[in-house]
Amino acid sequence: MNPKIGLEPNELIDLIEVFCQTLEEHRESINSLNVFPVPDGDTGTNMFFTIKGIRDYISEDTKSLDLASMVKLLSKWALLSARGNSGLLIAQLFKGLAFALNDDDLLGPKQFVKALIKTTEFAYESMPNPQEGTILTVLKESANASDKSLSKNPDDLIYIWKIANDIAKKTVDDTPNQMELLKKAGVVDAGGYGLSLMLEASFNCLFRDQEGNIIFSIPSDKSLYIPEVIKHKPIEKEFLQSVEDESWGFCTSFVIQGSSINIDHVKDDLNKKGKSLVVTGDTELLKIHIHVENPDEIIKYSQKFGDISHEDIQNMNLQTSEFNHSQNEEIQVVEVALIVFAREPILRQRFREITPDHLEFIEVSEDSSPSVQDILDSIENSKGKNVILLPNHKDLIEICNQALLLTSKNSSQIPTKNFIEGISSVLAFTSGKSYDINIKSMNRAIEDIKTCSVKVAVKTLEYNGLNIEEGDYIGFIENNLIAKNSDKNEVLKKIISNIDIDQKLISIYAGNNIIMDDAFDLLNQLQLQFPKSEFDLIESGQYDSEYFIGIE
Amino acid sequence: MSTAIVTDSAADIPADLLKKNNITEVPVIVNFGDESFKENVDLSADDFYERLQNSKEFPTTSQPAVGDFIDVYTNLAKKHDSIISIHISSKLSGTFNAAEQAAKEVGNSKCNITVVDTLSVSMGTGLIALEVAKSVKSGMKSADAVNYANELSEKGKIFVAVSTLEYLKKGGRIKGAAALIGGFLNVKPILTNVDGLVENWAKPRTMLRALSQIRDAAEGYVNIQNMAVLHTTQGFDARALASSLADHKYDGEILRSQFGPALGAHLGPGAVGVMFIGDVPSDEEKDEEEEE
Repeated sequence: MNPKIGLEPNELIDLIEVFCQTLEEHRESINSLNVFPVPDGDTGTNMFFTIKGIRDYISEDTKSLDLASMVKLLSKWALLSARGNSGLLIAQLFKGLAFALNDDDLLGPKQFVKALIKTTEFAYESMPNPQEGTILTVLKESANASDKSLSKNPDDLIYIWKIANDIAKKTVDDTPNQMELLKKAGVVDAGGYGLSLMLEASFNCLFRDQEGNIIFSIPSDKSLYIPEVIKHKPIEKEFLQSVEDESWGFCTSFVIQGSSINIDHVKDDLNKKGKSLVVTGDTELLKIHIHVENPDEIIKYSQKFGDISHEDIQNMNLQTSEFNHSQNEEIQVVEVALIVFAREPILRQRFREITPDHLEFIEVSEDSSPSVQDILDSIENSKGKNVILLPNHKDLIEICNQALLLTSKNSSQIPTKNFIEGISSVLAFTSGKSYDINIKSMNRAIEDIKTCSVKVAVKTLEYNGLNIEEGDYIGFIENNLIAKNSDKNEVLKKIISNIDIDQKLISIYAGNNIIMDDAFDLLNQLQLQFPKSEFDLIESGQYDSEYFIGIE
Repeated sequence: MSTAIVTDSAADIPADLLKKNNITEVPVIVNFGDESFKENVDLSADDFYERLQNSKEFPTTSQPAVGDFIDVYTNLAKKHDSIISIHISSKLSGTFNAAEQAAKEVGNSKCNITVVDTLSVSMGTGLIALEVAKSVKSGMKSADAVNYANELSEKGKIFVAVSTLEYLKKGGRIKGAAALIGGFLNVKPILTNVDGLVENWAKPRTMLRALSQIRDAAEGYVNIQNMAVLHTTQGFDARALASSLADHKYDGEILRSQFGPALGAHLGPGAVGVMFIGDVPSDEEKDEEEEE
């Protein structure tokens, strides 16, 4: 019998490299699945950054550890690096591994199956509302199938791994049948697909040469299983690819609008000014992404090509909160600090207007959400003796919970699902009051808020009897798509006429593309039409919707 | 053998009620730059708000001179054997101290003068003065009336919604509100009195919601004895608040008055507030109050 019926510790480390490269290669295709019908578009990026985070922690010392200590460390690093829900699920995978490899020195068939079973348990537990047709189902089915095959071939890791991998692919293909939403959008589940890629890529690396050494082959883009739906990729691949680069000054992106812009000329010119330049678009509209030391300078410089808009500047070192790197002065300790997750500068300004002295921000970037470690650092570095987190996104709530478990600082979160809840919650904050009282009133403030939105469809699809074309404006009440039109104001009116707004305050938050004068006209029309309600218009500059509407 | 009641003009008691209840008012001094006015003597509330909105100078108010109190007390001491002088919070103004000094000068075995710190402002103080004046009129002894005034001072509550943040910022004195910017979000802060100071209590958006929040806050109290609704410049919001309070819970008379310069300079145009004497109801609310 082959003495090596399992993977040794250093081979497990090699597999992490395989995961990392595979996810890097496939991140856009995973992202592109995350498009119902407006892309959140970050599953692949989050999975990749999570694995990359683990990889970056690994040192030579790690490789010399025994298996049990190693996987315990990996499990901790996975959690610290986890980004987004999918990242958290990857963290469960390593937790399951740590559990399964309690005192074994090899990752053999038995341990592999046990790890999958434990991971499945942990993964279901970690989700507040486990949903089938997701990575959870893929985990569960793979675990069950490999568990069954274990009795037939208890010593064959390759066989068991193959079973898990085959079932994973099959389950991914089946996810649209389990979740109506996926079916309607014509996609398979993004996270589940990411997991199946990891299983397949690692399966390809289980084979050994005559000396017993593993033959590593990092699969190329084409060689792995690709679901039918993503063979034609919809979004700016080139643009998304560039973001994983190591931090270097400021990651700056912006749009240049003009007429007959010479793209090559822009490329040549800007290439000298910074690193990681990506230019996408056409002669009238260009999106620029570049890493520079001085973002203001590059934006000013680029004005010679056309009108600049959509500036987004991220300090690549996300650990430092906006507050910390904005001043060298002595940090003034406050009783309670609010850490607000916000991406758009105008939106951050709206928050500052409410309570300037107690706010710190975590800047959520376009294509990756903060990791547990990022949040943990912000809490630890906060000027607040007590810290309250406002995630402002449903996908960040769980990751905030994980960060809160790891800090010794007195801290908690108000589970704000969007920035409207965030604003209401911050309005309920009173600086003179205690931490506990503020938490109580901030939670109370988000109890009765309904939200609606007007967005741009990025995909052509049929939904609820609506034939939606790419570029149409679509209207949601909460998460239900109820209207579409080529005029965004019509969509907004349709939403308003579909809900009970009597005696309510309707706050219309205008996104980045809105011309405020037009929006004020719309506001006046609505106020005349619905005199029993109160309308308010606020410029908030969000990128992911045209109008975001709060009804309270 | 009788008791006289004195207050200051920052208590915002309307002239007819002062007269009806035999309350003597000592005017607060209002300064615009180099010009000084005695409130309600040579500057009416309407004149004040007119100047507040058009003058480049942000007005300040100063307490009446000790001499003003001495004059008032000396006059009253001729006909009364006791004076109860009821004033706005000693933490907000020097009026209480000025009155105390005058009381030491004038008070003697023939006329006993007691100065009461209501820990409140505007009609929060005014309602207490009115209530004590009525009790004295119906025969309450002076010593009991002083105790009563102190007791009421623990129960006086004010809630005021501010329409523009401009004056809070210029004044810079209201805790928790001076730093508010909030213009885009249409924030109408509600102020309240806490331990003798006025501070920000809530930050509702839009005046309508601020008014309903004030109404809800008032409805949270029990055993309400007296209530007044005040405004700085726009009476219609005050009327709306008063009628909504009457519709809901409070069935006593709701007094109407106008904020004078002392608080009005900080509130600015368009502010509306309710003031009352009442008890905090539930244990939960009480806990919150204590923690504050």
